[in-house]
Amino acid sequence: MSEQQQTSDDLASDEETIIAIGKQKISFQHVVLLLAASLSVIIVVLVFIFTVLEGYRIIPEYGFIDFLFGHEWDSPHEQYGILPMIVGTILVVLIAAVIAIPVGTMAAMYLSEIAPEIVRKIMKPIIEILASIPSIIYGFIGWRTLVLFLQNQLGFKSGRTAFTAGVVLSIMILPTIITIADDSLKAVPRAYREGSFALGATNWQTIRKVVLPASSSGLTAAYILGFGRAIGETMAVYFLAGGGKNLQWNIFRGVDTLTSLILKQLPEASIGSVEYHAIFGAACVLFLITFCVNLIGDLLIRRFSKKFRGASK
Amino acid sequence: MNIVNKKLLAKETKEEDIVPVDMRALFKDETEIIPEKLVKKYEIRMAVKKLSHWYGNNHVLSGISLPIFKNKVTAIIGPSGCGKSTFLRDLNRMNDLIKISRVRGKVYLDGINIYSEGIDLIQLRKKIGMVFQKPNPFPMSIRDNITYGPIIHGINKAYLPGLIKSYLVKAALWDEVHDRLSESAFSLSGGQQQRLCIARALSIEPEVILFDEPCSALDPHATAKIEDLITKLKAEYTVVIVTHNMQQAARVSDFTAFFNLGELIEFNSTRDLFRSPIRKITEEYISGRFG
Repeated sequence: MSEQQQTSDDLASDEETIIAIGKQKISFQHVVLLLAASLSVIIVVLVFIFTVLEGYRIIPEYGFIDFLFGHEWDSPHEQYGILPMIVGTILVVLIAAVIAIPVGTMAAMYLSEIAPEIVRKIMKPIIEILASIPSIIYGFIGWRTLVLFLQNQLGFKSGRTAFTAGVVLSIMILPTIITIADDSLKAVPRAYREGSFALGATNWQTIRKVVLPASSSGLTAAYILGFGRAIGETMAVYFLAGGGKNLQWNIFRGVDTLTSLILKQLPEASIGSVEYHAIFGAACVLFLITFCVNLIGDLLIRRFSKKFRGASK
Repeated sequence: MNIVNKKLLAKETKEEDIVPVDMRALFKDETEIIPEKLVKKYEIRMAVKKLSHWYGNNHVLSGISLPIFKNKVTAIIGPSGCGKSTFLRDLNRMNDLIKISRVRGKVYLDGINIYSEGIDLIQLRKKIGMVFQKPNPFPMSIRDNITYGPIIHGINKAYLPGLIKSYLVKAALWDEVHDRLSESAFSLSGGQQQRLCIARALSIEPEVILFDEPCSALDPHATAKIEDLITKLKAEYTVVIVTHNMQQAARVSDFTAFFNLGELIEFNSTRDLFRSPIRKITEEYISGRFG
């Protein structure tokens, strides 16, 4: 009260005084809400610090080059090269992308450009449900169908291969790709389509030559965020990729990915050992990759929405 | 190319059965609104007969009959929401894109009803070009904006460089952009973008061009350039322009149609309509007392 009086006195006495009328007193409730909001930020930072603190030690203990480019992970012989797992991750994710990108793009084109409103309203939620199926179920069903098919019908010694994991993974990342691609196609202003139709273009010409190029950065973002999901996926890959800790590029043989390596080796490594640090080192590499991928995806989405805000003014 | 596509006709109908009607005769019973002397004097390019339009249950046009004269500029004026844009978009069937649209009545192009069966929308829109309210260049280079239309209609690519120049010259844009054809169309100013859209509309060699309030998003200087261009275009093309700006209608058009609440109130040569309107409501509108 006295404070307020003082301000009005100040105002009366000195017309030059600037009063911060927008400044609010911080209350107890504000602090509680702030803490709740900060919780996830704090956890992210702590996880990051913890992973890096445990992981960086592999560099002095084992050597950066040997760790990153070593051709073999062999715990009994104390070999901790993660290149086979990096290659395994790339193989699995590439297979998933080769399948999911064309299928996802076509599905999004259908939903956004061709499907009648009613079909769209039914299909889109179902596609989104795909994303909410727990990955262990994908892993299990992939094992029951694809793995056994490869073994029993095609005569593979083991049906758990990079290919198997990639195929199942492609289905898992489809909803991400379809949803974001559909949103970005829908965001293309109607004025472009009308301009194209007014020139006598067919629906297909309009989609292919105007709508798709106009949404290219949004589509790329969809692919990259799909990538991000695929790289981080663990359970299904653990189930289906078999395993192989030696460097090899054959997609029809078992591989380990960074995630499946961590899942398999962490329970066996004693805390503080070189292997333990190597596993955290692998986690750091994984962290770095997914962080970059998501960052690029976000930047592309931002650029995309900015492009159309600029265009529609 | 004919706007009637044999493939789209029902089996029992033959292309020869579709005979162009005499468009002058259509206005014999419309003399109350459409002055007889105009119909007799000028050649008709398009004729609209008793056209009604609904969006769902919303009745936006009722019983419009209007001649569009060849190589003339016809302006459609009227207060907001009077249905003038809908009318314009019915002329090249752009409203087909709006699912809840329903029309009744006839729109003739050279005597052929464009709402009859067997009409090839691609050929129709190739004959009747359109320029929109907001400049809507494609997110491509200036060059690609011009070549888009010719390429989808399968032109020999060897002709393209010459075409780009000729359309940009026609749209009075060549001098400003000839040294930056590869730049994005968005690097142009609003007025330049709209002239690019006009060049793009010209690129498919239409015979009729529809302008839907082409200057409403532009400053006076850019507006003057577009208006100048429209007056020049009528030598080769038949032009229909929707505008909410009466001075613009007076400046660019030869004929003016005044719409109100989805009905055609008055149609006459622009000079006569602005000098001596017959209906009281027309007079009130053009003198700015409502609208």
